[in-house]
Amino acid sequence: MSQTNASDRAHLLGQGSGCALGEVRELTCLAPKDHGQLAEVLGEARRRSFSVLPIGAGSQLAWCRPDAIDDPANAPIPISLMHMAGVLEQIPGEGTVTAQAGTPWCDLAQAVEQSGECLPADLAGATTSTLGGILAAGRSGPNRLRHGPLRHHVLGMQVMLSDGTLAKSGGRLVKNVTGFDLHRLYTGSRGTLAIILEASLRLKALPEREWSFSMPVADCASGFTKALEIQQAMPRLHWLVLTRTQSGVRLQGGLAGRASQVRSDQERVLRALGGTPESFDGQAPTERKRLGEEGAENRHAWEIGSPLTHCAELLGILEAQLPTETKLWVDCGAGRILVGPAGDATVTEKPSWAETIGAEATSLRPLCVHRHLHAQWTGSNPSPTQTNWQQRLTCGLDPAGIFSMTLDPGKAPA
Amino acid sequence: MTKNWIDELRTIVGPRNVITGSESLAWESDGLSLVRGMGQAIVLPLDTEETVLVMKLLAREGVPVVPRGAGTGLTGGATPVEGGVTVGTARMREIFSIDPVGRLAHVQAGVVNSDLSVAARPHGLFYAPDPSSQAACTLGGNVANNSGGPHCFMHGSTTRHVRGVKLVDAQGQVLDLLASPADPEGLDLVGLITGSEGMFGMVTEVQLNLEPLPEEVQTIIAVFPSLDAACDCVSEAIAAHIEASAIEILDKLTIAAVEDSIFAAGYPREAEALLLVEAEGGALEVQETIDLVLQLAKKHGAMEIRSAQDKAERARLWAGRKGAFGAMGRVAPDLYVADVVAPRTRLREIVALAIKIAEERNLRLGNVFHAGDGNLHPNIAYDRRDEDEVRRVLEAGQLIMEACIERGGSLTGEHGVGVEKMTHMCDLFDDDDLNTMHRVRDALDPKRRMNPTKVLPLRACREVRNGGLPFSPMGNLGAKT
Ligand SMILES: Cc1cc2nc3c(=O)[nH]c(=O)nc-3n(C[C@H](O)[C@H](O)[C@H](O)COP(=O)(O)OP(=O)(O)OC[C@H]3O[C@@H](n4cnc5c(N)ncnc54)[C@H](O)[C@@H]3O)c2cc1C
Repeated sequence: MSQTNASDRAHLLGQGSGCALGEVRELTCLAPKDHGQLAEVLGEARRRSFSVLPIGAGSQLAWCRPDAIDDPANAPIPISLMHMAGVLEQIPGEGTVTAQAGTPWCDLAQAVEQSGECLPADLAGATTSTLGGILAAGRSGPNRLRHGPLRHHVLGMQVMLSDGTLAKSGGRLVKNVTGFDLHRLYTGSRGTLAIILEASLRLKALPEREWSFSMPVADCASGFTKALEIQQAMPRLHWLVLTRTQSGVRLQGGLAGRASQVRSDQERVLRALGGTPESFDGQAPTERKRLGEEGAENRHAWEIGSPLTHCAELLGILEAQLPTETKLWVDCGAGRILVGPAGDATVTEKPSWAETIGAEATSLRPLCVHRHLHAQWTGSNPSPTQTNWQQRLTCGLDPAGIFSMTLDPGKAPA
Repeated sequence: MTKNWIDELRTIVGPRNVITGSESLAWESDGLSLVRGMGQAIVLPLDTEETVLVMKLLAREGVPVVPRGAGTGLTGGATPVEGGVTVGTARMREIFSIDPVGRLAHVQAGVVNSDLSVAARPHGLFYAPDPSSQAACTLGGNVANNSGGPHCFMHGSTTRHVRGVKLVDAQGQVLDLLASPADPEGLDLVGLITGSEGMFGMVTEVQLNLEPLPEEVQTIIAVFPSLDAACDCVSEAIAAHIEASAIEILDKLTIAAVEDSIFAAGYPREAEALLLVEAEGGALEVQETIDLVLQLAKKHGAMEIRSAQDKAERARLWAGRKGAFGAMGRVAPDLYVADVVAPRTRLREIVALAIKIAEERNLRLGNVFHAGDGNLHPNIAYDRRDEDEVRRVLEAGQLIMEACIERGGSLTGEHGVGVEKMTHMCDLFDDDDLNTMHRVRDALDPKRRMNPTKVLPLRACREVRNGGLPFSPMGNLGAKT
């Protein structure tokens, strides 16, 4: 591996491949314009044994910037797909959209709205994020409570492997079981297997009406118990989020769909909530977006997964352990807890509370993983067989190992 | 030599649970009776532990493994076309737990689909994917095939409902992905395994999402003077973003077969096509959905529209629909069930083409399909003993697939590729696509012992072009060169 710094290596890759350089969030990156250029860049990276990191607009990089890792000489060179953008197909009446990976999520949302449809994940905070970046990061929105996670709505993909192979899986129609669902494997793989070039998504009907509520609760544990009660009372809730900020703990949720149904359901939710929650009609989308932005991964340090049955208990433990100024953002539908940093400290080591949450949590993931953290990582490690499968898949699809400078534990070949 | 390891299998699972010789005839095919194969034995482990021992033994002996659930698959997926040992889940029938708070079920792979909904009901929950074979097919088989069903129009196919699996791989290693968080930690192996048609290992346990029972359900049938009109009605409903839970179409031949069978549902025999629509959810949204269907059905010339008056009538309407494949047994002894996907904007065109293709070959074709998803099932009734008819059936099946693919459709919406459609993978994918799938397979099962000769042509498309696949009932007819 070369000892030159990342920017120098990016220049070398650019010269060798004929690909222009760009800058994303102050990082020098390769910015290929088409498949041909991308294949050239990958070829050059293979020849020079340089690690590369596929990125979109870099919106997920706040906590895992390649230039922040311990060993800058081995930092991966970002390749941004920003210039490979645009909707490729949206046939009115099919309920699907296919777009290039570099397409900004908000542009895609706007394009599909014109035909009375919306994207299947509510990623309100993702104003700059690209389709490819969102899929590679495995993100979902709070409306997964109603629609399930975004990965369930990915119908097909085209990717480029590290050896330049272009490969498709799935298709563009709403139903299809032809061949292995490799697009499910690429979704959430954080660029460790292949570069996503285009993806097809299933769309949802644009709701006629939205409504949301917000109410203070005593603490997160009791708030979560309340959230479960509300879900029981109203199975059509679209999202339900619990937040702990400087100004207290709040339970917030929303409905969307047919206007008449939403009106009737909101009455039921208000009855089930009791007390005097704030209620939002016209303002509901703005409130939802604000909350989405608050829940952006890059504003948090840790992500904890928990079975719904244990979540209240786990939140109780966390509340007892964490300094009061530490923010919490809980997606009640998924049992997903985001723990904000206390102040702006960079996460470099395992927090003291990690051991105490033990059995209640199914996963604990730093949203920023520094190289040296891998070694000492003893959180909810995957089983040896799981790790082994992940390594075999990584090596099978990227034998040259140029995507293997992973920023996620458990994926890099040992 | 052979006898020794089969005896060892008997020691692991008990002598009654290893089936060999003439007793294994019942296992020589699945629902695609055109393809048959005999392996060395069928073995029925009780649980994950026994499966591990079985798989380790078969790995030691280098024997191919064919996973099998209830054998209701329609593409030869569970048929041992290359010999080996069939490992079945017939004894893995336990529902371990139902968690009403997390809305999750933990079951063994051999649990029958409809049994799960029965068990979940007292908790106010149900399991949404409902293949028409749900009274027989297993949840492990559903996971392997990523099966669909009428209500998958709203709820999505099996993959959207699988939260975790426990799998024993070709070497006998256990991959336990049961207590997974809502988002996978690392790669989404559950998503990869679902729909992999038994090629990555034996699924022994599954964790599935359950849904709350709907507050309100309404079911209607609309009688159309032509299949074209019914298809157009569906295409327009989809364009209007209809939020029904199921949208099915049955044609005249199918209606007659159903009405003549034990599944008789009271469908009007005079109908050229019947649209069966169900909506579920809150009372107001359900009513709006049904109103939209009524409006569109009338616009497209529906002669009669009828609502199910009670649960019993709704159940009868669905029993007719779900019994349709079986009822076709009255038309001829064998049934070729095609499974293709059409763009939903081109339903009428592709259904009409399928009919024309069958007519030109003097074949009896019935259509019963998941219209809302564009998932067509042109079913051809035939007699396996009539060689020429078999040839015409296969040719028609092939032309229908090609017509669909040429118009932007897909090879299979829910039944999988199995042996049946392996050749046609090259119509939809190129060498690089298929070799990438091979790379994934080889990473997980380098000796290719799990369910060999299924889904992927051995050497991608070259094999198809250079002389064909040994076990495809379709041979190389129609494969693109
Ligand atoms: C009358 C009828 C109606 C049908 N209707 C529908 C429908 O509406 N929708 C639909 O999608 N399908 C339908 N099918 C097809 C079939 O029922 C489904 O594909 C079903 O999921 C197969 O389940 P099975 O238990 O019978 O699996 P099998 O047929 O035994 O096996 C199917 C495939 O799964 C693999 N497999 C089975 N069990 C396991 C396991 N535990 N681990 C790993 N691999 C395994 C096998 O190797 C094979 O490749 C229908 C079939 C019939 C006969």
